[in-house]
Amino acid sequence: MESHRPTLRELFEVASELPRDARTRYLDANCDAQLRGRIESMLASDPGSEGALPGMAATTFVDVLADSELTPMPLTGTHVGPFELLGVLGEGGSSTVFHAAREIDGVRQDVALKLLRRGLYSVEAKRQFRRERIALSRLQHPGIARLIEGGVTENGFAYIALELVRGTSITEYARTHRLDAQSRLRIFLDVCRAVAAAHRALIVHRDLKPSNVLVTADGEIKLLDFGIAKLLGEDDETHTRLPAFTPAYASPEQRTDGLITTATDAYALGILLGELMTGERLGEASGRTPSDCIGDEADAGVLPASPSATRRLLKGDLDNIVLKALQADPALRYASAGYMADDIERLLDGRPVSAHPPSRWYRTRKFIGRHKGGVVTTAAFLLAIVAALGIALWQANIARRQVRRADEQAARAVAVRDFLISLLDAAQAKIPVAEKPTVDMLVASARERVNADTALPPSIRADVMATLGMVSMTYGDIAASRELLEKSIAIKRDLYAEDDPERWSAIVQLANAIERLGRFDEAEHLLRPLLPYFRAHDSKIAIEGLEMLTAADVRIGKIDTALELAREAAAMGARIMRPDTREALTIAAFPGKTLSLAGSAPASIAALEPIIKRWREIGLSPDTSFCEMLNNVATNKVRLGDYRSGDSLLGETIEIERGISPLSPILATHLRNLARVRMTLGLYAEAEASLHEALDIDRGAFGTGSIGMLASLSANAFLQKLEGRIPAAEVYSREALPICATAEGVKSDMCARIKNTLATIRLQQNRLDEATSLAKEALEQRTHLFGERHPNVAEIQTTLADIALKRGKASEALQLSDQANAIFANGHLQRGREAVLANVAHANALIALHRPSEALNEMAPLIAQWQAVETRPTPLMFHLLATSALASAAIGDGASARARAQQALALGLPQDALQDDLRDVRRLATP
Amino acid sequence: MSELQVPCISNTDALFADVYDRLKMMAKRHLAAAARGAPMDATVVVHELYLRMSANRELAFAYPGQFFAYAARAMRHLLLDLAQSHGSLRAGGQWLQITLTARNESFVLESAERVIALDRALDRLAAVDERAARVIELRYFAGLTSEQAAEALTISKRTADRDWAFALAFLKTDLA
Repeated sequence: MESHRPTLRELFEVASELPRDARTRYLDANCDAQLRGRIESMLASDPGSEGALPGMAATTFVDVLADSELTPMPLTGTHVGPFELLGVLGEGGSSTVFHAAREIDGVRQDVALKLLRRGLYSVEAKRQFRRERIALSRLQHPGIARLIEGGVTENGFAYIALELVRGTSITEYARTHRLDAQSRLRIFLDVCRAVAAAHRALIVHRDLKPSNVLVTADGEIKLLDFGIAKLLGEDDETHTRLPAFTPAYASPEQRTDGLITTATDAYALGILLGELMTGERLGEASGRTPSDCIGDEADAGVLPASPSATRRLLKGDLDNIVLKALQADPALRYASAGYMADDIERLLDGRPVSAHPPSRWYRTRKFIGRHKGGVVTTAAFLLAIVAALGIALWQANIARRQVRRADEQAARAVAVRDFLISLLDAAQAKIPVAEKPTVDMLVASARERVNADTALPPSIRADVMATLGMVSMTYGDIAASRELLEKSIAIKRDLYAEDDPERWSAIVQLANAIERLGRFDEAEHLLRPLLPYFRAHDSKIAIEGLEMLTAADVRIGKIDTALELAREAAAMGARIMRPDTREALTIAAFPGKTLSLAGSAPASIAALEPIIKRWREIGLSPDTSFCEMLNNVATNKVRLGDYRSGDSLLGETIEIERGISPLSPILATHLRNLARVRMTLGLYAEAEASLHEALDIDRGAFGTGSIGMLASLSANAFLQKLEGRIPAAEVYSREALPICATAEGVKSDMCARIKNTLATIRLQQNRLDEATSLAKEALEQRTHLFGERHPNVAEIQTTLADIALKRGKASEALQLSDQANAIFANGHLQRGREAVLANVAHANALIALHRPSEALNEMAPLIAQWQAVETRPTPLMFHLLATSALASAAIGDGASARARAQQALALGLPQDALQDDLRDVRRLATP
Repeated sequence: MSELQVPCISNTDALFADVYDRLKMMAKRHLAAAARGAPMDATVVVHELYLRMSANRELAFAYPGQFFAYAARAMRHLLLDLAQSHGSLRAGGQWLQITLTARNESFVLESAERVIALDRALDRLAAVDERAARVIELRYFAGLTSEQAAEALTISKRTADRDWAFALAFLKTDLA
């Protein structure tokens, strides 16, 4: 056995315990001379002195070091990186600017070199500096002074070399050249265009002012110091923090440490424009219009014309443009320099400008005027973007443990929004006004531009992709959504650590898309590994992750873990949300919703009703999630056979939802649910009205031929079939089937529903082979989606039982309907419409098997029960009575058969829908 | 050598960055107070920081020990950053002239050198015995007592004391 070599510590500890000569022997045996010397001096050092580190206490060091201010003084003639310093050009709060030069291949390059006054020591600070520098070096525009190079010296001092521009400030240039108003506006337009180019790369200048806006001898504009303010302004609390902006041009959000966006530059541009035209700097608080502040005396060249002529020139549009740029609320300003440039251009062309102070609706009205058809889609698209970013902002919220980072995230969210909105405008400009832009077109166009825009930083690119992905998801284009989210995640993988919410939150969104494709097992694979991160980060996105995993588990049959996760999500919600708020009650309702998904109607109702009650008690106004609770309770009541409560709850849901968003697909869902109840109740006309409304909403939101249409198409086909209008039912099915043939369609439960409807039609037409294959496809699909013991599966089994019966295979029909009934009974759903139909199939099979008295025994309680539920005539009652009559006839009880048959006819139902039963009933009713 | 979890702190860790930033601000404020005659006390600073940070429920410290580990590391970095800014200024005087406003320039620079030397020695100690280096950080930079340091590292007080004794002997001879 090889002997163990003791570590330094073991040697030290063992030796310190030993008496002197034993110690010597021990050390002799175990170490060489050098190590021995070390151990001996360690042993000799005084062990007893508490807290006695060499030197002084840590805090004393801090005192000494932090107390001594350092003032670096630049020396010309020395080198920074490859550059030789030639002289000082200027000094700012946190940096000194040198005129510097270097030789490249014998050519001298002059630069303006900015030397940061503070050092960058930490890895993170250096990385941050590098990131910013790379972003800025991508910014190439003739109107912007280039960033040539940057780096950190050996001593930890950061520097940046910028294109050296020789020129005069824009205001000075206008004055000395005595420019007229048109020329001033043209120059200013160039400035806006240059800033807009930077805004497209999501770089904000932050310090626009005349001394940073130069005009060269050739009359070309050059903007200096783009984004430098940010590079320099990174906070550094050990030294006095100097604002990295110029107060006179700073926007309110800069002065109050608010969120910096492209609108911040719009503000500075507003001041600059005012100064260029009037010689005065206006602030947002001045309350004066530019034309108001023109005095009668001004130095020569300051004004573009005589004072009175200038006043006339400015009044109206130009005043409005400046005032709009100077709004205190960034949301009311030009969102970016591009919009301001457009207005200046319109002004120069004599077209009406967008700035129009009294009404925020002005633009909206114009917008609606231009895109009559498209405005609904567009508004919905914008809404979706805002909703998607709402999620992004949540994430910003949960990451507040890193304050600066949260700001960064919020700024990024705003940047992404502005970017997308600008894309939207650009996309619309390309689409003919007469044509209605669909969401798909908008997303596709936005995507193209994101891919083409190489200046976009990866973090923003990832966010834009994720946002577009979520927008696509809202509109049901799940395949596109998935692709976008996967791209976003691929980028984030390089930017963020595995446990960083930035990274896994995107995976949660992807799982959401995948679940919408019906690939629950895949979603589960994605989400399960993230579970520890969800649990470690009490946050809304973690809750969402838990919700998605719950949904996946329900669908793949892991009902128990699903319910546990749902409760975990609710518990997390209770921990992080203020009680009795919308969001708190919404997440509290999640277990109830999960129970509903799992098919446990009574438990779901029990879980949801107290929350609904609480919602009403504290007087929260109802919203979409409240509607969802009502809808859940309603559909579960219907499943349990309580049609009346279901009907009234759904009516309430729809009224609320109509008030919230009259064109939303969610409203369409509620309308379809109501239609189903009404169909069951035989109220076909009312059902049809609801379904048509739903169909219209879906066509508007999703577009013909999209997967979002399936639910409405299948519901309409079903209704038409119920009413016996087979050709109409076929029309809807034909529209749906091609969608069902697509990859997503195959996964949709709606397709199973349509196939089931078509199967019943084929059954009626006696095309039994087609009926069988359609029903089997539907069965397979639903079994895959819900597992074998779900009520939706039982529904198809009933259809198969009916088919078997028609083929004369009564025992197979009996077996199938038995299975269906068992599933319904298991979920306490015996009183629902589907269960009753399964019972009817069962009874018919019994009759065919010459066991009519058993059939009769089964029918009697169902008839009584159904009469208690619904006094109005329903087709279901017709079928119950008809089957009962057939059973009586088979026993030989002609009188009872006749009575039941006459009762059925007396319901007075439209006869088209009653199918084969009608023939039998008519036969039996006549003595 | 040990199965216990020594919190792994990377300088790019967001949580660490936050602790560091806050500590820096607090140190600055305490220094301002120190100028009025109250000496700065590491224990007070770190405990105040803990109270502030644990009041913020969005902070995800798994256990208090983790916080102290971060705070100690942050204090160490703060000191190093201060020292380096002095040291590098002196060493990089090729193109910058430095004016120290402190009363005793050589004392300041000597302190800076000592801090940097201590930091390097701690790195060497960590290479030999990671946990012993953590004990030094917790006690020397965060001002924890021997019991508190033991608790933060979830080791016994006896073990923490042995770590301390070894670490002290190591550093003294290393810096000698």
